[in-house]
Amino acid sequence: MIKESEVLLQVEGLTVTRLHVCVEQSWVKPAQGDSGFLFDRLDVARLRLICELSEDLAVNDDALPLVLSLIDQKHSLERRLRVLAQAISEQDEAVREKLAARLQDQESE
Amino acid sequence: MSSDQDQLDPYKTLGVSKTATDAEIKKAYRGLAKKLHPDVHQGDAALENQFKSVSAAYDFLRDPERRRRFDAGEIDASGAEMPDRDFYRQYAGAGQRHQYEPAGSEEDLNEFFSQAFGHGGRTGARGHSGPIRMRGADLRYQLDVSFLDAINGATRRVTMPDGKTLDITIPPGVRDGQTLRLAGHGQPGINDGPPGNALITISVLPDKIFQRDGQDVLLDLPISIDEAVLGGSVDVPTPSGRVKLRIPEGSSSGRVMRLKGKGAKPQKSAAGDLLVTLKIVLPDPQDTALKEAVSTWRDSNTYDARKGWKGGA
Repeated sequence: MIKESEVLLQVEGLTVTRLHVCVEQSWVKPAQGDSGFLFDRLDVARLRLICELSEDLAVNDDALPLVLSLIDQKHSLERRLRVLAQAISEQDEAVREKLAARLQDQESE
Repeated sequence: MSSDQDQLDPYKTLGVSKTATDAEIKKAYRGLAKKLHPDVHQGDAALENQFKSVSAAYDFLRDPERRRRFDAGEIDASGAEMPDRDFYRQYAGAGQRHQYEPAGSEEDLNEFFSQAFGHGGRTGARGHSGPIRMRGADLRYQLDVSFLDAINGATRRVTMPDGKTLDITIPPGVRDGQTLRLAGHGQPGINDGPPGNALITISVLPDKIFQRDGQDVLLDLPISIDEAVLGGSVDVPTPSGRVKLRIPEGSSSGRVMRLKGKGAKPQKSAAGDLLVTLKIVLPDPQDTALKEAVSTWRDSNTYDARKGWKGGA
């Protein structure tokens, strides 16, 4: 786990004030350690994304939760699609051929 | 796509002139970042590489001192190469569910399966064969059980995360890490399929005096020196209540007394035993009576306690 002071060094452009806003708004949810917040690498990457969205892409704080939510929903959908793709790949060839043919139909409609 | 040569020139990477103002550089960077950011445009390695170059170029030029030295030909852009960095999607898109994944996505998944394997869709020529019944997903829980409840068995009422209460029968002799299966208490089935199961993993908490070895229970019992020498009857706790244990005369420290059937009593196999290890505890050394008595005794009765001991000389 990574301490708050270390996170500030790792994420360029992140100030203490901004970090606390991110935690208060629950955009980032660090673990609570004995002497302050503890972040994992997912949290740090998310903070970096938040900084880039707001600083570089000029996403304002009202729109930020929506953007984060959409990104998370996208990752969630992709994860479930991978589960589905895995399940399909484990089916008999006949089943996979039928599915492939059906999906090609759909694409060309 | 920019050539290698272009990547060495942060101005060309950003598409600005050498005389561009800070604001112009920032604007150019933002424009490119919107087009290229890997968390927005996933799966295009070329775009990602270009984004890395663009960010590196921007980071380079927005430091006035570095920009001045580059303009003066003191350093080149590669000297200030940014270290490889992590993008959010490398973690969030990595495969496992994570804490930022939207809540309720499991319910959405059920709905999806319901659609995929249920009614609806097209019928007729494609040989639609009616809904496929799916078993609901299993739900996993963890339950802490006291040492004695694990030995003797118990019934515990627990509240599940969905608010339902469930009476869980803990069978006698349950082991740490064992999983109990409660058929039908998982997620509901899809298209009238059967529900999943609740899988409850048992954690057995440690006890203050007892320890466990399979179905046997271990206990260290302190005894006095007179009880060890002369024998006696001692009140001993067992998992099923207190009993009187007869200490034979002349018992050494470490002697193990076996109380048959006083360990765990699993339903499907033989009951374990309670193994009581005797530990002789000497009286307060201020009490000189024992010292004097043993001194007198030693004059004529010394013996070799290490006779037959493998560590002897």
